[in-house]
Amino acid sequence: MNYTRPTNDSPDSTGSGGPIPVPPTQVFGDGLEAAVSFATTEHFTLQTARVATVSEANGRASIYLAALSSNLIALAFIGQMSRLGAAFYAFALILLPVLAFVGVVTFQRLVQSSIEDIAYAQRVARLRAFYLDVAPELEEFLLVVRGPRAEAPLHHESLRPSAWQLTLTRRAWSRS
Amino acid sequence: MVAVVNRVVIGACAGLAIAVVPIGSLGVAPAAGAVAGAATLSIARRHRRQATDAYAPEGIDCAATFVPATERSES
Repeated sequence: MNYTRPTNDSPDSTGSGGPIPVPPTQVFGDGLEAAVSFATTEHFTLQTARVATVSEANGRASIYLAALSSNLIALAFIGQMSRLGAAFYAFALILLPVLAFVGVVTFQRLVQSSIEDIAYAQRVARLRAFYLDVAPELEEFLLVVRGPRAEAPLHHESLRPSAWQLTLTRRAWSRS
Repeated sequence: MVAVVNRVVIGACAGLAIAVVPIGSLGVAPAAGAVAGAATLSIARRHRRQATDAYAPEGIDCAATFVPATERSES
Protein backbone atom coordinates (compact mmCIF):
# COMPACT_ATOMS: atom_id res chain seq x y z
CA MET A 1 0.00 0.00 0.00
CA ASN A 2 1.43 3.35 -1.04
CA TYR A 3 -0.22 5.28 1.73
CA THR A 4 2.22 7.78 3.21
CA ARG A 5 1.21 9.79 6.21
CA PRO A 6 2.34 13.41 6.28
CA THR A 7 4.58 14.24 9.20
CA ASN A 8 5.44 17.54 10.77
CA ASP A 9 9.14 16.88 10.20
CA SER A 10 8.94 15.33 6.77
CA PRO A 11 10.28 17.26 3.78
CA ASP A 12 6.89 17.48 2.14
CA SER A 13 5.48 19.49 5.02
CA THR A 14 7.98 22.23 4.19
CA GLY A 15 7.20 22.06 0.52
CA SER A 16 10.67 20.89 -0.50
CA GLY A 17 9.74 17.58 -2.02
CA GLY A 18 9.69 14.10 -0.57
CA PRO A 19 6.92 11.54 -0.48
CA ILE A 20 3.57 12.93 -1.47
CA PRO A 21 0.83 11.92 0.95
CA VAL A 22 -2.11 10.12 -0.54
CA PRO A 23 -5.49 10.86 1.02
CA PRO A 24 -6.96 7.90 2.90
CA THR A 25 -10.09 8.11 0.81
CA GLN A 26 -8.00 7.18 -2.23
CA VAL A 27 -6.04 4.50 -0.43
CA PHE A 28 -8.91 2.70 1.22
CA GLY A 29 -11.64 3.51 -1.24
CA ASP A 30 -14.85 1.80 -0.22
CA GLY A 31 -13.07 0.17 2.69
CA LEU A 32 -12.49 3.46 4.50
CA GLU A 33 -15.50 2.99 6.73
CA ALA A 34 -14.32 -0.46 7.75
CA ALA A 35 -10.79 0.88 8.31
CA VAL A 36 -12.08 3.60 10.61
CA SER A 37 -14.11 1.01 12.48
CA PHE A 38 -11.03 -1.19 12.87
CA ALA A 39 -8.96 1.76 14.06
CA THR A 40 -11.60 2.79 16.58
CA THR A 41 -11.82 -0.72 17.96
CA GLU A 42 -8.05 -0.92 18.19
CA HIS A 43 -8.00 2.43 19.96
CA PHE A 44 -10.36 1.20 22.66
CA THR A 45 -8.42 -2.05 22.98
CA LEU A 46 -5.17 -0.16 23.45
CA GLN A 47 -6.76 2.15 25.98
CA THR A 48 -8.00 -0.86 27.93
CA ALA A 49 -4.52 -2.37 27.82
CA ARG A 50 -3.09 0.88 29.18
CA VAL A 51 -5.54 0.82 32.05
CA ALA A 52 -4.53 -2.76 32.76
CA THR A 53 -0.86 -1.80 33.00
CA VAL A 54 -1.64 1.07 35.36
CA SER A 55 -3.82 -1.05 37.64
CA GLU A 56 -1.28 -3.87 37.64
CA ALA A 57 1.48 -1.48 38.65
CA ASN A 58 -0.66 -0.02 41.41
CA GLY A 59 -1.54 -3.48 42.67
CA ARG A 60 2.04 -4.70 42.71
CA ALA A 61 3.33 -1.59 44.44
CA SER A 62 0.54 -1.79 47.02
CA ILE A 63 1.32 -5.43 47.74
CA TYR A 64 4.97 -4.58 48.24
CA LEU A 65 4.22 -1.67 50.55
CA ALA A 66 1.76 -3.78 52.56
CA ALA A 67 4.37 -6.51 52.95
CA LEU A 68 6.92 -3.93 54.04
CA SER A 69 4.53 -2.41 56.56
CA SER A 70 3.58 -5.74 58.11
CA ASN A 71 7.24 -6.74 58.15
CA LEU A 72 8.19 -3.66 60.12
CA ILE A 73 5.37 -4.23 62.62
CA ALA A 74 6.49 -7.82 63.09
CA LEU A 75 10.07 -6.67 63.57
CA ALA A 76 8.95 -4.20 66.20
CA PHE A 77 7.08 -6.92 68.09
CA ILE A 78 9.96 -9.39 67.96
CA GLY A 79 12.43 -6.69 68.93
CA GLN A 80 10.37 -5.75 71.94
CA MET A 81 9.90 -9.36 72.96
CA SER A 82 13.51 -10.41 72.58
CA ARG A 83 14.91 -7.08 73.77
CA LEU A 84 16.86 -6.78 70.50
CA GLY A 85 18.55 -10.08 71.14
CA ALA A 86 19.55 -12.92 68.87
CA ALA A 87 15.95 -13.75 68.01
CA PHE A 88 15.46 -10.25 66.60
CA TYR A 89 18.52 -10.51 64.39
CA ALA A 90 17.58 -13.98 63.20
CA PHE A 91 14.03 -12.86 62.46
CA ALA A 92 15.18 -9.74 60.64
CA LEU A 93 17.83 -11.55 58.62
CA ILE A 94 15.22 -14.01 57.41
CA LEU A 95 12.46 -11.51 56.63
CA LEU A 96 14.41 -8.62 55.17
CA PRO A 97 16.13 -10.58 52.36
CA VAL A 98 12.77 -11.99 51.34
CA LEU A 99 11.29 -8.50 51.35
CA ALA A 100 14.25 -7.22 49.34
CA PHE A 101 13.72 -9.93 46.76
CA VAL A 102 10.04 -9.05 46.50
CA GLY A 103 11.04 -5.42 46.05
CA VAL A 104 13.52 -6.20 43.29
CA VAL A 105 11.07 -8.27 41.27
CA THR A 106 8.34 -5.69 41.85
CA PHE A 107 10.60 -2.98 40.49
CA GLN A 108 11.53 -5.10 37.48
CA ARG A 109 7.90 -5.67 36.65
CA LEU A 110 7.06 -2.00 37.14
CA VAL A 111 9.73 -1.08 34.60
CA GLN A 112 8.27 -3.60 32.18
CA SER A 113 4.71 -2.41 32.62
CA SER A 114 5.79 1.22 32.30
CA ILE A 115 7.44 0.47 28.96
CA GLU A 116 4.34 -1.43 27.86
CA ASP A 117 2.30 1.62 28.76
CA ILE A 118 4.53 3.85 26.64
CA ALA A 119 4.26 1.41 23.74
CA TYR A 120 0.48 1.45 23.96
CA ALA A 121 0.47 5.24 24.14
CA GLN A 122 2.56 5.44 20.98
CA ARG A 123 0.14 3.17 19.19
CA VAL A 124 -2.79 5.30 20.31
CA ALA A 125 -0.92 8.31 18.93
CA ARG A 126 -0.55 6.55 15.58
CA LEU A 127 -4.28 5.92 15.48
CA ARG A 128 -4.92 9.57 16.28
CA ALA A 129 -2.71 10.46 13.34
CA PHE A 130 -4.87 8.20 11.19
CA TYR A 131 -7.99 9.96 12.46
CA LEU A 132 -6.46 13.25 11.44
CA ASP A 133 -5.61 11.91 8.02
CA VAL A 134 -9.22 10.87 7.54
CA ALA A 135 -10.66 14.05 9.02
CA PRO A 136 -8.09 16.89 9.06
CA GLU A 137 -10.73 19.19 10.54
CA LEU A 138 -10.10 17.51 13.89
CA GLU A 139 -6.58 18.87 14.15
CA GLU A 140 -7.50 21.64 16.56
CA PHE A 141 -9.14 19.11 18.88
CA LEU A 142 -6.55 16.30 18.82
CA LEU A 143 -2.96 16.70 19.89
CA VAL A 144 -0.72 14.55 17.73
CA VAL A 145 3.06 14.52 17.90
CA ARG A 146 4.49 12.97 14.77
CA GLY A 147 7.83 12.02 13.35
CA PRO A 148 11.10 11.83 15.26
CA ARG A 149 9.73 14.07 18.01
CA ALA A 150 7.36 11.28 18.99
CA GLU A 151 10.24 9.02 19.98
CA ALA A 152 12.41 11.74 21.47
CA PRO A 153 11.36 11.28 25.11
CA LEU A 154 12.68 7.73 25.07
CA HIS A 155 15.94 8.19 23.24
CA HIS A 156 17.17 11.66 24.17
CA GLU A 157 18.81 12.02 27.52
CA SER A 158 17.63 15.58 28.09
CA LEU A 159 13.98 14.70 27.55
CA ARG A 160 13.92 11.61 29.74
CA PRO A 161 12.33 11.64 33.16
CA SER A 162 14.94 12.50 35.75
CA ALA A 163 16.30 10.12 38.35
CA TRP A 164 14.11 11.91 40.88
CA GLN A 165 11.16 10.41 39.03
CA LEU A 166 11.97 7.10 40.72
CA THR A 167 10.92 8.69 43.99
CA LEU A 168 8.02 10.78 42.79
CA THR A 169 5.93 8.11 41.14
CA ARG A 170 4.70 4.75 42.17
CA ARG A 171 5.51 3.38 38.76
CA ALA A 172 9.07 3.12 37.56
CA TRP A 173 9.03 5.28 34.48
CA SER A 174 5.88 7.12 33.59
CA ARG A 175 4.24 9.99 35.39
CA SER A 176 1.29 8.06 36.78
CA MET B 1 9.13 4.82 44.60
CA VAL B 2 9.49 1.07 44.96
CA ALA B 3 13.16 1.30 44.01
CA VAL B 4 13.84 3.97 46.61
CA VAL B 5 12.02 2.09 49.39
CA ASN B 6 13.67 -1.17 48.41
CA ARG B 7 17.04 0.54 48.57
CA VAL B 8 16.38 1.28 52.24
CA VAL B 9 15.34 -2.32 52.86
CA ILE B 10 18.48 -3.70 51.25
CA GLY B 11 20.61 -1.20 53.13
CA ALA B 12 19.00 -2.24 56.42
CA CYS B 13 19.50 -5.86 55.54
CA ALA B 14 23.19 -5.33 54.83
CA GLY B 15 23.61 -3.25 57.99
CA LEU B 16 22.00 -5.93 60.13
CA ALA B 17 24.15 -8.60 58.56
CA ILE B 18 27.26 -6.59 59.38
CA ALA B 19 25.99 -5.82 62.88
CA VAL B 20 25.72 -9.53 63.65
CA VAL B 21 29.42 -9.97 62.91
CA PRO B 22 31.42 -8.89 65.99
CA ILE B 23 33.21 -5.81 64.71
CA GLY B 24 34.50 -3.28 67.13
CA SER B 25 33.32 -0.03 65.56
CA LEU B 26 29.65 0.88 65.70
CA GLY B 27 29.87 2.93 62.54
CA VAL B 28 30.70 0.03 60.28
CA ALA B 29 27.15 -1.34 60.10
CA PRO B 30 25.47 1.97 59.12
CA ALA B 31 28.24 2.66 56.64
CA ALA B 32 27.84 -0.75 55.05
CA GLY B 33 24.08 -0.26 54.90
CA ALA B 34 24.47 3.13 53.26
CA VAL B 35 26.89 1.74 50.69
CA ALA B 36 24.59 -1.18 49.91
CA GLY B 37 21.61 1.15 49.57
CA ALA B 38 23.44 3.52 47.26
CA ALA B 39 24.65 0.63 45.12
CA THR B 40 21.13 -0.75 44.91
CA LEU B 41 19.69 2.55 43.78
CA SER B 42 22.46 2.94 41.22
CA ILE B 43 21.71 -0.52 39.83
CA ALA B 44 18.00 0.27 39.69
CA ARG B 45 18.63 3.48 37.76
CA ARG B 46 20.96 1.72 35.35
CA HIS B 47 18.43 -1.04 34.81
CA ARG B 48 15.70 1.46 34.04
CA ARG B 49 17.97 3.29 31.59
CA GLN B 50 18.92 0.07 29.83
CA ALA B 51 15.29 -0.99 29.64
CA THR B 52 14.25 2.27 28.02
CA ASP B 53 17.21 2.15 25.62
CA ALA B 54 16.27 -1.36 24.55
CA TYR B 55 12.67 -0.31 23.99
CA ALA B 56 11.20 -0.69 20.54
CA PRO B 57 7.55 -0.17 19.63
CA GLU B 58 7.44 -3.65 18.11
CA GLY B 59 8.81 -5.22 21.27
CA ILE B 60 5.44 -6.24 22.63
CA ASP B 61 4.50 -7.95 19.39
CA CYS B 62 7.83 -9.73 19.29
CA ALA B 63 7.19 -11.03 22.80
CA ALA B 64 3.66 -12.10 21.99
CA THR B 65 2.67 -15.44 20.65
CA PHE B 66 1.93 -15.26 16.98
CA VAL B 67 -0.62 -17.58 15.50
CA PRO B 68 0.25 -18.37 11.89
CA ALA B 69 -2.34 -17.37 9.38
CA THR B 70 -4.54 -20.21 8.30
CA GLU B 71 -4.11 -21.24 4.73
CA ARG B 72 -7.13 -20.65 2.61
CA SER B 73 -8.55 -23.76 1.17
CA GLU B 74 -8.65 -23.86 -2.57
CA SER B 75 -12.21 -23.76 -3.71
